[in-house]
Amino acid sequence: MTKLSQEALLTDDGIRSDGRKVDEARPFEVEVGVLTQADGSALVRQGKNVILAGVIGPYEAERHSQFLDRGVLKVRYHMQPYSTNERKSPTYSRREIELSRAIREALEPAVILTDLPRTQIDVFVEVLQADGGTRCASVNAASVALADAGVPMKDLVTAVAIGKVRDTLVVDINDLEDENGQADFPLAMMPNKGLITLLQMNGLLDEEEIKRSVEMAKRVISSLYQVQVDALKKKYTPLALSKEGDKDA
Amino acid sequence: MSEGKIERIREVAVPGERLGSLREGAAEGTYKEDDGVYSSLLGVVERESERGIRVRALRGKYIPRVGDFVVGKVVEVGLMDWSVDINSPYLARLDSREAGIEVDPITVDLRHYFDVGDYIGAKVTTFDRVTPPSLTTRERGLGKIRGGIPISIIPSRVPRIIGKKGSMISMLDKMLKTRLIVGQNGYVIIQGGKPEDVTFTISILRKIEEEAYTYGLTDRIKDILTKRYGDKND
Repeated sequence: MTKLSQEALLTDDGIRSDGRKVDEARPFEVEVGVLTQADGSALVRQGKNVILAGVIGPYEAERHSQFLDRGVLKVRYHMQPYSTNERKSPTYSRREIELSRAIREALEPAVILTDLPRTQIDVFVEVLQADGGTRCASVNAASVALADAGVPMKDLVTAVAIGKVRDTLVVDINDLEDENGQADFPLAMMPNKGLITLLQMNGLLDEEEIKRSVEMAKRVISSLYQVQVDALKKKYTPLALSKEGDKDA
Repeated sequence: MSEGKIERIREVAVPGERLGSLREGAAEGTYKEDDGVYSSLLGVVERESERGIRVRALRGKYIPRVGDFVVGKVVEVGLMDWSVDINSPYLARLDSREAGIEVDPITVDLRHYFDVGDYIGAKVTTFDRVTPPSLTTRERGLGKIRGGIPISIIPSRVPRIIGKKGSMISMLDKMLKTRLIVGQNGYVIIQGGKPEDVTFTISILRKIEEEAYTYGLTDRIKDILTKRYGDKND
């Protein structure tokens, strides 16, 4: 596949291939508790990404894999065969194993595993539709699903990928920009703590660009975080408030 | 209203949300860091002056507490003990001596007392997260539960089925035509009554579970019960 020209990804007026501005994130939606059998679940749409995260646990881990002082977090990231442009083999690929680990390591600092010795928590992330930045969208889905499962956490985790096209930094890159751009810089944070839990880089950014990327990511993350919080609260608060209204009427 | 003392608007917190300053105190469902108290759970915030800020989970498994009455399901019979599912991440252990049986494992088969699939009412005696929580049935009212229909409730909502100082459960006991055995762990056994009474009881329990965090719930449930069975039980 020949690469798209950088001019195709960003016009002279600063408009990107999907009509966004350089600092504009894609539409982000979170739905909590979409599954009834899972202990916790979330469905996230980030641009054209559609990602479902389900949590099982905490449950008592098998004896050979348990730790006496902490719980174990396991993450499985998997893409559906129909999630991409070309059919993806349903078998578990090298890339999926790697991303599962990246997502797990992004979530681990937030989960208070020392409160859950000898247990295991499984997070299953299914990519139903992929449009670039799936690892970030998966982190966003998984952290909400963990909270929904009642797992003790220090903070939620929110992630976004910054990219570089036509020598310009752009936020929340889509598939086209990921494939054809000059850099991909996914970053996950615990927003209330200001701590970075995932930081990867594909392509080239200089020191100045990295600093600016982190600042851009922080801004986007705080707005994505608000969506996650609202989704979690929306699931339970309206009930309490509407009934309150009934009674006064 | 019986619950006038509780703050009017229930506050829902998400993990990582700052709830207050250190001097307000941190109870369950929170953690302290540098300058304040933060929520560690998705749950309802309760502020009590003597115990501090506490967050009650909206969902999640039962974490055993010593002294809790729980309803458990026997899943394994050993030579000297039983393994019991108490809706927690950890399987509980009931030692035969704690069931009041002095056994010689060669001559006595513990299946005669509690078999796999039996439900028991028990109390949590120890729990340190490193060893399995242990149970006892050596108290009045504990032991095998004979008959009844088991259902499972989200453990953090059990306090609502019991109510303030038992107000809800005593009303249910008085007005329902079934008998309820409610474990702190969310397992509930419904005994007695005609099949339609049982299905009605389940619908009431589900309603309490679903609306656990609303105000005036006891009154609304009372209305439904009165509508169905009339006022004569009062």
